[in-house]
Amino acid sequence: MPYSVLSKKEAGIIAAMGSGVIPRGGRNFALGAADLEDKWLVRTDYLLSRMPLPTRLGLKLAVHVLNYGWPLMYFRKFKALTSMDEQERTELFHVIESSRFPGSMSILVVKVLVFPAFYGLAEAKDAIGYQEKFPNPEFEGLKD
Amino acid sequence: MIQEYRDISDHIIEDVDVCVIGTGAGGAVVAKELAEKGLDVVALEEGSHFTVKNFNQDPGDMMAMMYRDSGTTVALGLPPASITLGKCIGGTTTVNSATCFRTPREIIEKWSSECECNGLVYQELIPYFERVENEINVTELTQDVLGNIYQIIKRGAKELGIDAKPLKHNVRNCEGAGVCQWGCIRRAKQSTDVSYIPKADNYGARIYANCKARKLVVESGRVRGVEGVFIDPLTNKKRYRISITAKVVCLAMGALITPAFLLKQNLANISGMVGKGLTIHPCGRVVAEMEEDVLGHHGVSQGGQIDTFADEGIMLEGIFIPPGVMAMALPGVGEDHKYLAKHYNNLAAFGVMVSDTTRGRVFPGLLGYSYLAVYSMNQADAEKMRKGISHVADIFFAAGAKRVFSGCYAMPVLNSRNDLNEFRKIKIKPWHFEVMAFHPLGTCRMGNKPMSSVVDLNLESHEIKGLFVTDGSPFPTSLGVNPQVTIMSFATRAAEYINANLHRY
Repeated sequence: MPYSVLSKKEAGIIAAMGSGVIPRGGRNFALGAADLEDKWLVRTDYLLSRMPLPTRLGLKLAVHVLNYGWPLMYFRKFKALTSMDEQERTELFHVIESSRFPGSMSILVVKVLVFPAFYGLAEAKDAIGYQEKFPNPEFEGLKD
Repeated sequence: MIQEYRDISDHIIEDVDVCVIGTGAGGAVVAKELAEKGLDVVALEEGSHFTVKNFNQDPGDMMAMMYRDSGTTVALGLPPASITLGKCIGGTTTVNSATCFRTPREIIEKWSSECECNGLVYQELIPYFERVENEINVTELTQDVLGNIYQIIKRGAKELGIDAKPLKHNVRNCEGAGVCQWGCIRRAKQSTDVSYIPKADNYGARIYANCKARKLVVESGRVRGVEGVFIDPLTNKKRYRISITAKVVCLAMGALITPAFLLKQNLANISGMVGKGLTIHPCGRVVAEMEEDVLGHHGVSQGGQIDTFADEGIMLEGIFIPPGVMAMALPGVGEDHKYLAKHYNNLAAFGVMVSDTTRGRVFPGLLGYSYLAVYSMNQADAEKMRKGISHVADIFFAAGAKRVFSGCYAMPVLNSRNDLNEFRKIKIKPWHFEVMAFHPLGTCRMGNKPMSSVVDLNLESHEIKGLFVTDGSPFPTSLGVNPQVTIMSFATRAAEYINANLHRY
């Protein structure tokens, strides 16, 4: 899948982050971020493409650093996030979020990259029972 | 006619009475008021022109499309504060919650007596409030669009002996679609892109979208015009230039960009006050998990208010957001997150807005950013935030909440009133709060004295004749309420002054 601003590697890391915060299965709903990876990553790519260049580059750099930095910092393991399984990633994010500092503020990076993109998809809305009050029959498309 | 980048095929030269930069609450009003009086007006807007045909109700898409920097604009500090701004025809009025308040009388009196704004009289502002409210149809929301969260808040507040009221919005035939901040899909919200701008257009004003002002032309202490450039919104490439000769220029880019624009050119800053005095109304968001079905998105996103604590600088106002944004505001990953997502329809939320005593500062933007803002909430405002959150949590518990999410990192989840009591006592620092802000003000303050203020009471620069600042920048303190009616009313008043004194320029 070609992206406009994300490299394949960056898309892979963000996908791994997504699967950590929204893993498959569980007792609430079965859908996981990995199930719709191609769809929501395109939306994250679009969101990033509209950010100023320094913000975008900063986020892209952060993604690479965190891929190794987080497991090293919190699990004392030199193992990339992308090499972990879903359960390990979720566990890592739990540890980060409950850490004293920087805690949930740092996990916000992942949430910003994943949640708005994922929960904009029809499948995700269905999974959580979300329905807009009104459709917009006049909608023709996004604009630059 | 609104002309966008794609409509422009050559450099443009204009010679007009008035050039307005910005089409939000401040700019659109001046453009319409002066065009209506027969003046030759040009308005420049950096963003594009969007209509209901472009609104898909998705916060991710809408932020990428209509918000400055995809909604990632912040004030740096501890804690950093997210300050979202609209970048489109209509400016932030297109993406705000439509809440309308007149400027509180005591604020005007304070400005007059304590902030060197002698001569500002509340009574004299009333006709301007009325004119604005009439133009944008300010009306109290009806029960059928307020939604269930308002009923929950009202129920809880009643238990505690507190009064909850509906807010006033600038809407016509609102049906409570619940997407005010992502572009109103029912054309109900009377943001300036559907109220003032079409009228300005009808009266002959030329409105250029995708047009960024780059330079003010100033000669011998008088403003002479504006140099700008059309920017392709897709590629950010600059193509055609616009050169405007104008007797009067009104800056209405908002309290973050207007001062940065002036500072970059070292203009109108004899007082040294340009960029100083930033207030933002720091806001917190309290979310409650209820037993009942709430369906918070099936009603206006900001419906109710509690002004009982306004004297303490705390306003409580409704707020609700779609799941993708709500999930960012809630703690939890993995199964914890999925539980809350699955129970989205059981979530209720209400906001806390602090009338801040903290002052931040705006600097010229670097690396392509329009501005750099620095703002670190002080301890007094953090205490107000804690107090406001405690009040909302108390109301939610009184209404039967299972648990409450405070938006405070020091104690993010309150499972009971005992937790709430503990939350009231724990040591709190400003950086423990997740802070959002929506009302930057105060960075080109008005006043009587040229050495301590940037503009006079008519919003004209003390230093540069014919240069006006008609956005939220001139207000010397925070208002304690949503500022769009205040900005519009002062802009109307400035337009009246400009029209009466045009012969001087």
